[in-house]
Amino acid sequence: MNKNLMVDCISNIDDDIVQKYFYMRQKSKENHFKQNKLVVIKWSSIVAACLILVFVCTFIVQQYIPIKYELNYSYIGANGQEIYIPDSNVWVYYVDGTNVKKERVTLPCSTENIFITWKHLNGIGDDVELLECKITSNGNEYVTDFIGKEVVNYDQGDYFLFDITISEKLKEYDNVNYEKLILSLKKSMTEFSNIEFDEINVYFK
Amino acid sequence: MTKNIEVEQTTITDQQIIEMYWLREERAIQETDIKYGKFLLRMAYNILHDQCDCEECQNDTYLGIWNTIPPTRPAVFPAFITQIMRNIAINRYKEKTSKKRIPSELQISMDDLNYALHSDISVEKEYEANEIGKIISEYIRGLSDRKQYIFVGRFYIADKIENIADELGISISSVYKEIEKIKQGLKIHLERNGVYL
Repeated sequence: MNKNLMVDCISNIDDDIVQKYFYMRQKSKENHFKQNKLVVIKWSSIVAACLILVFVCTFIVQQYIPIKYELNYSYIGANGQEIYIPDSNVWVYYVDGTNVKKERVTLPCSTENIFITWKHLNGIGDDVELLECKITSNGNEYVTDFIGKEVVNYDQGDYFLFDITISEKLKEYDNVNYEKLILSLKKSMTEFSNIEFDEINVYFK
Repeated sequence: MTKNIEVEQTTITDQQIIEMYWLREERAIQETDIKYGKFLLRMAYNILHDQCDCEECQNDTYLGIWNTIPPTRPAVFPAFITQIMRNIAINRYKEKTSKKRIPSELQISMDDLNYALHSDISVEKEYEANEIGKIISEYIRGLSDRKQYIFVGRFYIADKIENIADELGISISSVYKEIEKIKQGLKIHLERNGVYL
């Protein structure tokens, strides 16, 4: 077939067909735009969701990350053997402005380690030391005689005291709410144990 | 010292452009060029494959539109200007092809169509291009929307396969397959109507 004739034939197709083509072309462009917009929205949502997930996970994980201070993981027992301290999740309290807040930490659970963590959270330096930590009660130990033999007995007490002795240097820290700081120390040092103390005393030496 | 000049971009409607032509505002040509210049140039290039010719065709098209509106008030403005541009470009194409072969998209698309419809039997003289155009139109109307789009895009606008595929959001191979089906269907349709090519 003559090529020019074919060109002419195609040129003579009805106007409404060409018009429909342009109508569809416009629609196609609009759909492309809408689709692109939807794709952008979709990916933005996915990215936003991922970011939120990362933030939430970071926050949750941080609660349970073991603290990397110089903690004591063991102690020497009475028989001279090294005894490892098991890890526990405990709340350690700290002063934030005028509020006392708490943070969940995993550490080898001993009063010494809790004190180190408490210092760290409160911005207290290593110049402040835990000198003594003592639990006393009104329990009484006595000796009786049983068929000619001495037997040691113990009466369970009902009044428990917890005495914490720390370095006096703590008083040199001016920029802290002293009252709240002591409160946070008392809470941190006693809450991990199951004993309900009737009195908690903090002494400075 | 450089100044930041803010260019205000407004989306002007086709009706507003037509109105400007009716009011004989020269800005109408400028707006047509902003909105459809690239498309017209691309179409002309697909037919002529020569940048200089394309620009001349484009200017002739603007002049054609200026001379036609008024009295014409086109229903679909892009279709209207495409027809003008196509006629001008086709005339130039014919002039050029009488001298030598040009490697344009129109040439390729027509070669393609010609190959499918090729036969030793010559066209009956009573069939004018106009009448065959009507038969082709009838065939196109029977096609799905997608095939109609591909037919007009490829054989009327002489657009590239890649562009058609992109506009339809389908693969290039799918467009090729559809074109193959269209060609076979057109051949059968023309033969049914007594057009033996």
